[in-house]
Amino acid sequence: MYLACCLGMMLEFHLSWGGILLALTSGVFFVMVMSLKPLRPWSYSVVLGVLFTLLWLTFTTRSFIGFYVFFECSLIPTIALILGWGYQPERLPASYYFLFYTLVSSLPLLFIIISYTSMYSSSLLCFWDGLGDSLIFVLAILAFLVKLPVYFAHVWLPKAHVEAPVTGSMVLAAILLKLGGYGLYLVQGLCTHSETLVMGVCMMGGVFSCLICLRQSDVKSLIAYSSVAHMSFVILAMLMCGHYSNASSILMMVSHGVCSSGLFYLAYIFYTRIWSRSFLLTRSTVSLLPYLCFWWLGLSFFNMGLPPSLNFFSEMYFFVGVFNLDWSMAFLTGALSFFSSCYCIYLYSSTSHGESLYISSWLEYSLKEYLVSSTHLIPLLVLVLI
Amino acid sequence: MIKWLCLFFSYVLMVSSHSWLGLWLSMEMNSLSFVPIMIEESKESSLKYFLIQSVASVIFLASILSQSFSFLTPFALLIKIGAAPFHVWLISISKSVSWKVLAFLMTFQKIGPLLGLAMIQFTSSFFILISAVIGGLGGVNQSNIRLIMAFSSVSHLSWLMVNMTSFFLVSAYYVAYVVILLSVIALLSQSGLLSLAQMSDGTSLIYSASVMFGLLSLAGLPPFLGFFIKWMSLEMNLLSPTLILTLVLSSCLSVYFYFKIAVTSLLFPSEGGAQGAETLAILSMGFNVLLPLSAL
Repeated sequence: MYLACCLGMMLEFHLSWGGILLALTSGVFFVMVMSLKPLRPWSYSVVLGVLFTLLWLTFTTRSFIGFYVFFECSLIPTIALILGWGYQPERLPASYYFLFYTLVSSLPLLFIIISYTSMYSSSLLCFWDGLGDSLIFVLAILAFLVKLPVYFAHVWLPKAHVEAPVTGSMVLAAILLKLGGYGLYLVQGLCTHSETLVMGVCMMGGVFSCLICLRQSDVKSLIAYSSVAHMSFVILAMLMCGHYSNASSILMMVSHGVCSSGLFYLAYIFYTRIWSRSFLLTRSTVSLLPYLCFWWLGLSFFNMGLPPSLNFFSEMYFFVGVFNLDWSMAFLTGALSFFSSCYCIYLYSSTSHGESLYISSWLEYSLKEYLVSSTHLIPLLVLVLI
Repeated sequence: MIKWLCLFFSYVLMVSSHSWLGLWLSMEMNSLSFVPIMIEESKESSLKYFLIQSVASVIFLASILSQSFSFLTPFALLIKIGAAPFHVWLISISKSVSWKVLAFLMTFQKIGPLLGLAMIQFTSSFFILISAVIGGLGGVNQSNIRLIMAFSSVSHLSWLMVNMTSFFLVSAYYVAYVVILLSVIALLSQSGLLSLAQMSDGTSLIYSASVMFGLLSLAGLPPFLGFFIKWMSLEMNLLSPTLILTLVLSSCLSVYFYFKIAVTSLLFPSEGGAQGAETLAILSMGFNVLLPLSAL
């Protein structure tokens, strides 16, 4: 399993979208394999292997029907992962929410794909020229809007992320949300440049979910809502269909993927020691696990877009693209950035500082966790150079 | 033994009949020879079955013989098959028969009426819509697995009826449906489970995985076989969007109850050994997909 993931990571790096997301997938799977020692390891690796293959196929298929099939297929191993290796009884309704939100919202997409396939008698990706009207575009992207959740259809995300085991959360945050982004990129042929309503909803939704973040009591749930906020950036950028916006969304997808999965892993580290995810108990990393504190610092500050990281550049490109659209977006974008900094600092300060009420001695910290955390942080710094 | 011979002979007759009268004859023979098979299980169900099928046969005979009743042909065939709004007998029978009989009932007993419906190319949207809706909604609150399967057969009938205009599609969907359904029923009957509450009693992981594959294949989720036959039917009927919208939404509802069954067995796996090679065979069925997938 290790070998397969190493091999996956060494493949050639095209600079196409699919290639970038493939590289991300391989990297995340490599990390995931390292990070959890599950019960029932054989079936666990089978599920992970199936999921990896399906995601690989999603990003390399050339036909839209193939993309749709693998998009839906990836639900099943994820649900198996949540149900089989999650550890709370709430994972049952969480998996229902996950399945049904994605399934029902991808139906219009299926219709549109089929009708375009039969119109052009082919379902290759290059045939999607701009000839739909606005309704068709919105219906086609509905599936992707729910998948990388737009605010009003985001209910499944905190549930699924919190209930999933750590690898499930990691792969969900890192890759599965990006499937939605990739799909949005694919349907840009139908873009009509006039969905101001959806854009407005995205933006306001991003601000709302940042505010919700500040009131969370569960670390994983905060990271999940931060995913919603970041993905609202991505949706908005994709809907504008310009060069800068596309660049911003791909950068945001990669950086958010790495960052969120790192944060989930850090939350898991704490969970394995304290057996709780509540903010009241996960405190004072600085005194208990000081090396961990560095990773918390790095990842949560990169989450809000601190300069030398990839997140920062994605936000920069995003600002440029968005101001191109309308100057009044400046206020909302500023609000969004400000509030995301708010919750990131809240996350860092409440987990790293403060008084630990429960544990009063240093805890051990294994090499494996070092490796995983560093694998998350370093790409964020290094990828800027590309 | 003779009753099985009669049954199979009636299937042969159905398929090789050249006229409506031949079809009627073979359907009569079919229902009459199915009654002794059912009567071992439950007398009440066999009586219900017999009554319904004979009423339908009489209506069918009248409609094929006389000009003024000929509009009744599809209704008679729909009663025989158990489509909504004539599905109530199917539901009440499936509560009390065994899995083996239910398997026969839902799969092979449909050959005759489906042949008749395919000959007249019956695509009335009312029946399709109502079968889809009742099949989807009816199964949601059930806890008896056989009832869930009966409602699933009603909703799959709506999918079958949608592509009646092309005989190839009808037969393709039917064959695929029979294969998937028989594999699911083989698995479910092997463990003797009757109601939903029993599914969490600790079955081996491979068994619950293969049950899940079979059921999700019936539900029409990719990458299983069931998705591809539904996709074929959708592609055929793009001209009537309300129809396909209702079909797909009812399919979503049915995903709910299939998923319910699949998941309750998956949540509590015990480490018992795999129950023979049959489970692996069933698993491979769900992935009869590598062939169509390679065509993508």
